[in-house]
Amino acid sequence: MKMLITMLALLLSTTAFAVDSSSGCGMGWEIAPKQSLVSSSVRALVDATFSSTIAMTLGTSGCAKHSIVKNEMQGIHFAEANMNSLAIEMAKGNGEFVNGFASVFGCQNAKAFGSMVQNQYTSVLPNEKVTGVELYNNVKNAIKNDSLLSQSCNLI
Amino acid sequence: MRLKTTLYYLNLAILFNLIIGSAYSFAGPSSTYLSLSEKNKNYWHKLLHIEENSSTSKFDGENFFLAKEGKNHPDLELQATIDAFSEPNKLVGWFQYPVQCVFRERFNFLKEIGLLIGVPETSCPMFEEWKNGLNVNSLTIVFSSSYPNNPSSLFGHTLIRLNQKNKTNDLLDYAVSFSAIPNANDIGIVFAFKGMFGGYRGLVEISKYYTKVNEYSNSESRDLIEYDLNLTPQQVDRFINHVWEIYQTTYADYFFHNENCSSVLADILAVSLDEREGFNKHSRWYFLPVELIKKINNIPELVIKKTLRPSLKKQLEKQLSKLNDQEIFRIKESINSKEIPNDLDKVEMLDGLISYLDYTRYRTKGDFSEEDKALFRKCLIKRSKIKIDSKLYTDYESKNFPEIGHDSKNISTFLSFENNHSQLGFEFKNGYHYLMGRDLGFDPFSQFDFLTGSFLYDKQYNKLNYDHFTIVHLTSLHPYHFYDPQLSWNASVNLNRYYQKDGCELCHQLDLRASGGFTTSVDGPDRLSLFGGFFSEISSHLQKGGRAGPILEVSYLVQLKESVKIGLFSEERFSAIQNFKKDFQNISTIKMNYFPERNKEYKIELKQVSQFGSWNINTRILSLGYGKYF
Repeated sequence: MKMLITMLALLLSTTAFAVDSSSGCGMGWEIAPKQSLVSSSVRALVDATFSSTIAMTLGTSGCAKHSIVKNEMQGIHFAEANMNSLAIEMAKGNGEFVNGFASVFGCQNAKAFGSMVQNQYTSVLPNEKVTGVELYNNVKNAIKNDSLLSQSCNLI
Repeated sequence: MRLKTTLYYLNLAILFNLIIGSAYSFAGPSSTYLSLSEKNKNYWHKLLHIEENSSTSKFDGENFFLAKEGKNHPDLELQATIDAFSEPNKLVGWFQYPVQCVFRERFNFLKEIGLLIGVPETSCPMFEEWKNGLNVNSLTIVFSSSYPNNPSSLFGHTLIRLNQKNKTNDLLDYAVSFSAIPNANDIGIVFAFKGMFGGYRGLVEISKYYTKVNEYSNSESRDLIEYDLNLTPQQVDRFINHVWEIYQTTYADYFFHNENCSSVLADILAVSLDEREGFNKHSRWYFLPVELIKKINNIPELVIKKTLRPSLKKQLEKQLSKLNDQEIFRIKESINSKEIPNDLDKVEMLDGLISYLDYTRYRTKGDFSEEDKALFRKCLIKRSKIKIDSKLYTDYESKNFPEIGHDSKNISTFLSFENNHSQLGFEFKNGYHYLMGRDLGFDPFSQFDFLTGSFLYDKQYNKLNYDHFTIVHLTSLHPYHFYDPQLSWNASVNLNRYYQKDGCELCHQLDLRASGGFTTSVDGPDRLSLFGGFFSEISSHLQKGGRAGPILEVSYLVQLKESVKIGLFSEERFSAIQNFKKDFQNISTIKMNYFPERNKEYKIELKQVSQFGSWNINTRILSLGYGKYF
C-alpha cells in the first residue's frame, strides 16, 4: 500500500491534478492570507504576467470582498493579464483580446480600435518589456489623440 | 495526579457527548424539518450540499452552519437558520455581514415555502453590489481538456462561466471554479499526496474568464469546450445566490477523487436544476469532470450550444496545416537563423511564425531565449505593417468532446487459449482509458489505467485464479514535431503473470517499469514509438528474487475509421542482475479492438512470450473478449 501511494504520488506530482490554483479573487486570501491574487498562482508564466504594481492594486483590495475588479481598474488588469495575446492581436489589428480591450475602454467600434492600435503599434508597445499599466496608458492616450475613437470610446 | 485530572475531564467530556447525543436521538428531527415536503427537503439538502442518501454536508467551513451540529443534522440547521433570520442584526460569515445577507438563497427558499412569515427582510447593499457587478444573464459550463503529454491531468477540469447581460466579449465574463489552495512550500510529492488523500482546502473562486483562457488555452495549451445552458432567469438567480452563500462562508476539504473541481460545481448547479432529481447523486467512488459534462448533456434541452475554443497548439497546427512544404521550410529557416527574410511577407506564413514563437514561449516558459524574443518582436512589428486580416479558422474537429467518450469503468469477459489450454477470463477496469480503447472523447493514444484486475477460470481443474492486476499504468504517445519537441513516456506498476514452463503455471511477479522515447505519426491517426527505459520484476520464483535492467519497446498503433484500433507491441527486457546474454526476454503482442458503439468493444489479442535467455517462444496466448463500459 505504501508503495502504491508513493508511486501514485510520484506519477502525479508533476502538475495539477485538476487542482486549479490560478490567480483569482476568492476567499483564499481570507483563509490563507498569504494567497493573494499573485502569490496564489503556482504557474510561473501567470505569475510573470502580473507586475507588483497590479498586485498591490488588485491583490487584496479590488478583488478582496466582492471579487469584482473595479471598473476603473479593469483596463489595467486586462492589459496586464493578457499582455501576450494583446501584443500579437494588436499587430494583426483584430482578434478576441483586442475586441475585449476595446470594450474596457468603452469603444463601440472595435474594428476602428483594432486598426488604430495596429497603426500605432510601436508607439503603444515601444518594446517587449512594456507593463500592463504602461500599455493601458499608452492606448488610452492614443485613443484621446484619435479623432474618431476619442468621441466613441466612452470609458476613457 | 495530572493523569487523574485528565481522565476526570475526559470522562466528563464523554458523558457530555453521550447526553447531547442521546438528547438528540430522543428528540428526533425537528417538527419543522419533518413537515417539509419531499421536494423541499431535497432542496434544503442541496443547499447544504448533502448528497442523496446521506445526512452529512460536504462543506467543512464552520461559518456555513448556523447550528453547532449543522454539518451532520440538516433538521437542526433548518431550525437554526429560521431562528437566525429572525435576528436581523446577527452577523455571520467571513466578513460578518447580517445573516439574511449572507444566506441569500436559504432566505429566499424559506420565505417562499412560508417558514419566515412575519420576519422582516434586511437590506443587503453589499450583496446587491456584488450581484450587479457580476451582471449574470446565463451560465456556460466550460470543460478544459487534459494537459498534453501529461496523463496526470487526463481527467481535465471544469468551471462555470457567468455570461454577462448585453456582453460583447466572452473574455470579460466572470468564471466560478472550485480549486484547492495548496501550500506554496509543499514539494511535488507532498502536493500530490495531499491533493489525493486530503490536506488542502478547496475554495469557490470567481475570476475573470480571460485569466482562465490564458491559463488553460494558452499557458497549458488545453482545449476549452463551452456548453451554454438553457436556464430560466430564476434558475440562474438561485445559482448566483447560492454561490454567494458559499463564497461568504465556507470551504471543503479537497480530495482529488470525489471533492474536486467538478463534484462541487455539480452540487452547486444542482441547486439550479431542482426539478432534475439525481443531478447531485454521485454514482462512483470518484467523480470526474467528464461526468459533469455527461450529466448536463444527458438532460434534454439543457445544453443549447457547444463551442470549441482550441488550444494554442491546435491553433498553431491548424495554421501550419494550411501551408505547403516550401512555406514550412522557410519558417524553419527563419526560426534557425533568427531573422525574417524580406520576402517572408505572406500573411499566413508570418502568422504561422508568430504562432510558433508564441507557442514556444509558453512551452519553454522561463527558457525562451533572448534571440527568440528579438525575432518575435521583429515579426510583430513586421506584421503590424501588413494591413490584411488574419484568417480565422473554424474547421476544428470535435473528437475530444468528453460526452462522446466511453464511460469510465469496464467489465470484460474473454476466452483465453494459453498454449492450447483454454480458460475463461473476467476483467474489471476501475478506469479510465487505455491505449487500445476507443479514442473519441479522450486525448488520443493516451492511457490512464488504474485498479484493473482479471481472473481466469480453468474448467478442467475447476479452479479460479487471478491473472493480472494493474495498480496504475500511464502512457502518453506524443508525436515529436519541430514546433513541439516533446518525448513520450510510459510508466506502470503491475502484478503480472510469470510465464515459464517450470511448473509454475499461474505464478505472479511485481512488475515496475518506466520508459520514454520518441513517437511519430506515420499517416493520420496512428503512432509509431520507440522507447527505452528500466524495468524491475520481483518474484520468489526468480533467481535472486528478481530481475531488473534496461527495457526496449517498439509499438505501432493505428485507429481505423474510429471503430477499429490495431496495436503491435514488442518489448525486450535485459536483466542487469545476472547476465545480459543469458537473461533476457521478448514479449510481442498483436491486438485488435472493434467498437460497435460508444460503450462496447470486441477484443482479439495474440501474445507471445519467449523463454528467459532465448528467443524461442515459451508461451503463446490467444484471447477473444468482449467488454462493456458503464
